[in-house]
Amino acid sequence: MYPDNSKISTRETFLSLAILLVLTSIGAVIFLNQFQFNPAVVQSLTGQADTIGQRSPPVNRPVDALIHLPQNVSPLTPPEAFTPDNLSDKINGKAELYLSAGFKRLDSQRFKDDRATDRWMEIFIYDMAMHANAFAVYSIQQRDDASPGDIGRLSYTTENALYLVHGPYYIEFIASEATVEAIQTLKILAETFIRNTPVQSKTVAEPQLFPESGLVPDSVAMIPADAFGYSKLDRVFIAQYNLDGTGLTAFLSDRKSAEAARRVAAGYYAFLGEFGGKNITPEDSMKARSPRIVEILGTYEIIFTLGPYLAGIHEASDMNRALQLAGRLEKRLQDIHNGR
Amino acid sequence: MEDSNRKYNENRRDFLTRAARAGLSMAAACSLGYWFFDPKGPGRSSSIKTGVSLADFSIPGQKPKMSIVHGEDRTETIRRAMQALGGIEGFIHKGDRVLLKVNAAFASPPALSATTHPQLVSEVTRLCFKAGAAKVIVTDNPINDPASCFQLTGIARAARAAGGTVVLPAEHFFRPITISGARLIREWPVLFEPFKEVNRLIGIAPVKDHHRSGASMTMKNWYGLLGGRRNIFHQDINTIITELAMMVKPTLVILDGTTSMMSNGPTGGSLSDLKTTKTMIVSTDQVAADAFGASLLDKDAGSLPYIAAAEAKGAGTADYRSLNPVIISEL
Repeated sequence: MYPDNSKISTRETFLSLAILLVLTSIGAVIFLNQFQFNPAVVQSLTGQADTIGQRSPPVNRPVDALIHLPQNVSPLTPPEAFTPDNLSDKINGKAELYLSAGFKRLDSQRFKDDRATDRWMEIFIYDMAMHANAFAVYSIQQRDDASPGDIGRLSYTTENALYLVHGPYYIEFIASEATVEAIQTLKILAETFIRNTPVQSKTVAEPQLFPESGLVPDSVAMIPADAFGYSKLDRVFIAQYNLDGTGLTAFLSDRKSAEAARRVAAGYYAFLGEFGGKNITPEDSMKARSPRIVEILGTYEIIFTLGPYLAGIHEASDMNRALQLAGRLEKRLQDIHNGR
Repeated sequence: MEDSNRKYNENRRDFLTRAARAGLSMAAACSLGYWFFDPKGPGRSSSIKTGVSLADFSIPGQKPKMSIVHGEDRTETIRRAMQALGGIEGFIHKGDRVLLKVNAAFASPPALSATTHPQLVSEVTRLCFKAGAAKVIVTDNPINDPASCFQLTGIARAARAAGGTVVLPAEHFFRPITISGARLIREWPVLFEPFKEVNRLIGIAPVKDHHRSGASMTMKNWYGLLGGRRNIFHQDINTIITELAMMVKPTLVILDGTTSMMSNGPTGGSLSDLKTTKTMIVSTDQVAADAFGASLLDKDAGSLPYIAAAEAKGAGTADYRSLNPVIISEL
């Protein structure tokens, strides 16, 4: 009835024991590991406590200043710091704009002007890692009715605020009131900050690549990602033009190689086609390196490449004007490309 | 022959015994596994209690109503907007306990219109007490530094001056809530505790541009009820706003378009982001209020996907004209 154990070899016995040992070890590892949840699970279970637990010390407590302060200005609340993980805790839905542009860190603090009880201000120092990234968030948010800030080349003021780029930093100084005194205080704060924060001198080259004729002053902006809704079109510079009363938007992006520029251009062209864009490029131009013209939703999109540059005109209402501007842009890029 | 049969029977018996043992071993292993299996997964931290839902704060049997009043003085426009709906007494009765869900998301001054204007908080609180309310609670969950947010926006002072009670969020105020048919709000912590002691809910929101959703108005205002790492919902902003509209059934919503944030929302920061639009909207239908509010931002309601989605989920109607809103031209 029972197997004859004498027929089982020593080898079989050891092999069986080894298999049992391995199985027991696997079981033990699984048993121990089931107490250690994936960090994502832990986060979902305890995130509430993490975020709700973030509280600043009470207002009015003596606190350190985030930046060197001029006379008559003192901290109102403690400094705060935010990383990509919690930036939205501070600026909510606008966080995505900064994150897509290479955001690294935000330091902020509120100050009060000791000469006026109701006058207070907040400084937001966005470390964008690179000067071009700082320019992107600066330019994309630039206010239409701004006045020159007179603090460096990239700065402007509005009734109650001062905005500027300093090296890799994009900085907002926002006052609680729209008065001359408040703006003066903001400017002193900004100058003090710049004086005490040395950075490498850098400029963004692309704004100088657009032809000057018809260019709307201070209209060049950089779209860091998802330009015109196309996910592979990033780091695109746009410029507004006024050609005899017709408003146009020119764009260009340095893709670093001619092959990369052609590839992204082809992708964007196909993307427009997916959304109903119709190729209306004249037949005789298709073989040449002429711009592609796409009609989409009653507007015209012109796309061309020149060396590493992908460029064109976006959502033009007048095709002839758009072609005229595209020609100027191409010539300008050609001159620069030849001089490279 | 006999030997051969016996040997065959022994082998057969041996096989059956071994097979039965193997079967029992497998059954035991499976049973052990099943015994260890936890279909609910790991439990939440003990400080968070489960199994709650927000009450329906709408007035039973009341038809949807809406009023639109044009003017610059918030105190006057909100008063007239309430009168146009038959008076706040139609919504707030003697002894009611009212919660005002304001937008106190940022510690910014009232002039920047990034938050609910204190003047409006003050007047609505006063009107509620005038109608006989026993208590008025003012709350929001700004996540970052709520005390500064309520203080620097002027909301705390305005609410207290009018007799209201300001409730700042605390960790134990949150409960996980699941919305039936929702994809995102499932076992998600929601600011619940202040709702336990009220029977009326009024949402008060400014009209703002929003970088992700296109606009922030009354439905987006409920976002401030969410706890946890709610920033993940920004990736699916239209769905979360729709689900918030499904979750909250308010008594009234007030959409303040006296000044609208036209660009750089939702934070703004510069007065140049604002436009004087001189409009106060009061409605029992949050979808209708937002559909009209879109026009103040020079947008079409159809360009804000969450409006149609909320309508499809039964949260209200995007056709605000079907409510025959009472419109009062500039005061």
